[in-house]
Amino acid sequence: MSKKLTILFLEDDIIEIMKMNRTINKLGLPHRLLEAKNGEEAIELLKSIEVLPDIILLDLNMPKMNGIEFLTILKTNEFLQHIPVIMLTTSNTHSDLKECYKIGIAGYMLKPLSYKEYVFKIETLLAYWSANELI
Amino acid sequence: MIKTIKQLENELVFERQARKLAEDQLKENELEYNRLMNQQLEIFSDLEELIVEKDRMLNELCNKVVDAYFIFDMDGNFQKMNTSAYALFELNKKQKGKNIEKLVLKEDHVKFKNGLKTIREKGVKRKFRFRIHSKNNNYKHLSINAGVMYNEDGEPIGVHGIARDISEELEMRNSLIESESRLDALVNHLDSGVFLENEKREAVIWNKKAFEIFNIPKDYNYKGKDVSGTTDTVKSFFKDPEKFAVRNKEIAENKTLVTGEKVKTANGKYIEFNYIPIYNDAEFKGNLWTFKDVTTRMNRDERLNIEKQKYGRIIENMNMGFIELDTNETITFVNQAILNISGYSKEELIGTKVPDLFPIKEEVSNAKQRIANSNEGESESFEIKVNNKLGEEQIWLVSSSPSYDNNGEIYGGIGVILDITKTKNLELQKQNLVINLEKQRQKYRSIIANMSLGMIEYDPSNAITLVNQSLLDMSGYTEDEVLGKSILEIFQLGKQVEFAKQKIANRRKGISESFEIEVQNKKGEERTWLVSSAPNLDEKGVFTGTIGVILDITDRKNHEILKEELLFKLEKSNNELHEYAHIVSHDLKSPLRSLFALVSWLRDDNTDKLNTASLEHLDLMETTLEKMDQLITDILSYSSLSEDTSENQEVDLNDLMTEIDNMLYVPKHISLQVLNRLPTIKADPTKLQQLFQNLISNAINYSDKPQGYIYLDCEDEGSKYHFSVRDNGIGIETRYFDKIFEVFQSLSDDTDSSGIGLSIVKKIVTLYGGEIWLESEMRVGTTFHFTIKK
Repeated sequence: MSKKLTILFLEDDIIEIMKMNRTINKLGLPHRLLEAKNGEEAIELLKSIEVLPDIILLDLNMPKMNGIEFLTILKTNEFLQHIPVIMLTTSNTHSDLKECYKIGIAGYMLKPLSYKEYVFKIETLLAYWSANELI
Repeated sequence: MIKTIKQLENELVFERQARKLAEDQLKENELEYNRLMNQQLEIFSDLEELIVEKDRMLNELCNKVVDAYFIFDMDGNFQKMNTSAYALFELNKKQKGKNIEKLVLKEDHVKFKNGLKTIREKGVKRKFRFRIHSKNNNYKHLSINAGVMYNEDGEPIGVHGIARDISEELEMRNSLIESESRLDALVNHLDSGVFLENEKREAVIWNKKAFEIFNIPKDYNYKGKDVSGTTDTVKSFFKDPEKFAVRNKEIAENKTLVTGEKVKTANGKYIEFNYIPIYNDAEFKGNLWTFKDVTTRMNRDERLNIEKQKYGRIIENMNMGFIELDTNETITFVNQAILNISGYSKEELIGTKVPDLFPIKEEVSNAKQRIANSNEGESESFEIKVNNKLGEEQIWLVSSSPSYDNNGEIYGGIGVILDITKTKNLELQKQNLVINLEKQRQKYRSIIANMSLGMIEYDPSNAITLVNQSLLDMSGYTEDEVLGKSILEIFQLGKQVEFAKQKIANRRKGISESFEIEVQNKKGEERTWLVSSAPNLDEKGVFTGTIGVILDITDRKNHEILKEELLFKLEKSNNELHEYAHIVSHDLKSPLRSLFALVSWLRDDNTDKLNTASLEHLDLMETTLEKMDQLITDILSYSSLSEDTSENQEVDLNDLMTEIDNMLYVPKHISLQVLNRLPTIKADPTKLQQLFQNLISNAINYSDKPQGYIYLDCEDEGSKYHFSVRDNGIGIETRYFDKIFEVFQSLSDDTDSSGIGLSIVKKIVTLYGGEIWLESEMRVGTTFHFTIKK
């Protein structure tokens, strides 16, 4: 039985946000999606909410504070560092991958070109995390 | 002038004899007289007239006596005297009766009175000596034998006697004594030791020098001692006593003159002795030995002898030739060295005239004149060229000087000869070398003067001594403006003076080096010079200054700076480009994804409302998006290929191939085979993967045969690996062989091909120091070859 997850989704692109919402709706998943358009907004959000998200889906390329900078701040904060972060990005550059894992991520998902493929990957990803025990 | 002692003695003897005779006669006369007197007295009375006769007889008798006979009474008044007495006392007949005392010299009065008293008392006195006045000689010595005359009653009636003038005799005796003492002094002061011995070989005289020579104690009483050579005393004076004893005895027995014989004394002196036997009227009277100390002379002679031998040996053994000539230039002596030098034997040389054997071939230093000078008595040194016995030409250095005998006459000459042939030849070679060196120097100097490099020379005081035209061009100065100026001042080195001083100091240490220095030319423009500087040494290695070759690298330097700047910019822009490509790629990819999603939603939401054509258009949109996405991916991977070696690691290509095999979709009708065991290479695994993956996927993509194959092979070629990927695909036209490696050149219309794949392949091969080429036949297949440096 899958758990209902609270997901913080960091994404500046509206269409990407639409893709995520549409995918969750289409799949009929129970998860709650918190949205932040950039790193600062996400940090504000995390400071203000009572219940922390179970997982964070993070886009690597964002304006202002990029994904790696946000990740670094998160992982150095003792109240937040336990939250699994899954990268959602178009970059499969070796150095990006290595750095992210080094700082501490729980997953790295390449955004495929095909929307169908995207839906499949998100479904798999969320199914995985909803099957996990989380803090 | 002086009669010999002997003669004097003889005369004396005669005189004595005559006097004795006279005295004896006188006595007889006296006795006769007394007898006659007594007879007369006996017959006095009757023979009165006889007295006169007797008196006459007595007078006659008196007169008959040659000696001066006189009678004076007891008071000293002359009573009677004969003619001789008159003469002796210098009286005439008228002065008969004169008192004798009046005649006696004042000084002798006392003596006379005492003598007279003796006569009176004792009746007689012999050799009663005193002096009387004399006209000629002031006084004369008289010797009187006198007696008292008595009458019949025994009373003294007078004194009679015979007087004799002994002045001459005394004088002679005195002179004898004098000459004897003179002789003594003479003998004693002789420089030779004198030993006089009598016929019994008893010592008579040893003089002072004799004592000295033999160190005889001064108080030694030699007189009358046996001094024959066999006695221990005498023997002990000599170094070899027995030998001396034998010789001394021999001489003494032979009694012949010996002169100049030498003997050594016990105290180390050399003595020369003479022997003279002494004869008197063929009667042997004794031996005279004289000894002379010749130690000094002997030592000198001995030293001279030793020196002579020493120099003789030196001359014989020295390396230099030694030759002695007489005044006719005939060789009289040669040493061994000259035999070695000339090759002639001693026999061949001695007695031969020098000009005959060694005609002068060539005068080197005015030799003929010098030889002539030498014959005139001057010492000379000269060089001559001669032939030795073998006919080889030699150069001799001759030092000649005349030989003088004891009288200062030239009796020949000596020559010391040094064979300098080799030295001379070496010298010639050296001279030639120096000339060559100078030529070379001139050559290089002219090269340097004309070369485009600046050249400068300066002396140890840093004053510029030489510059070439190029340096003048570089610096803007004229020659006059720089010559003699200090190198440190002329070029306005500013802060670099210390640096320049240090460099100059290095030259003194003999160090050559190159360095850059900033100077100002005459116009005050800053120029950078590359200086190659070396110490200038003379042939003896003495530092005489510095030589510098200068290249003005100001422009080059500027270019260099520009290049550096460019490189920096290039690197920066490269990095920027890299970053840019990266970012742009990502930023391009996102909208593509959005577009794709939107296209998908459009179709999903309107599947029922859209006609087939519209749906097909949507599909085409998706395909175009896919192609664009692939393009971006390829650009990204191409641009991210860098020379960065930080990702290098040991990559086992066998493992890599397995990975690729798994990753790529290989259709069933195509077989991918690795023909050889692949090596392990140190490289970036991602790049290697891109390399192999591109080539293999190309081969798969362009396979058109029902049974396709792809063979991967590798050969070790020593310094590199040679890989080949062979397929039996469609093949590539030869004219495209180069083009296919260019970016965005795709030979097919295939939408999957972006045309970047082979560009990536080529870039990677080049990165790893290899080459890539291909063989291909249309419709048969293609083989890509590439190498990777180990």
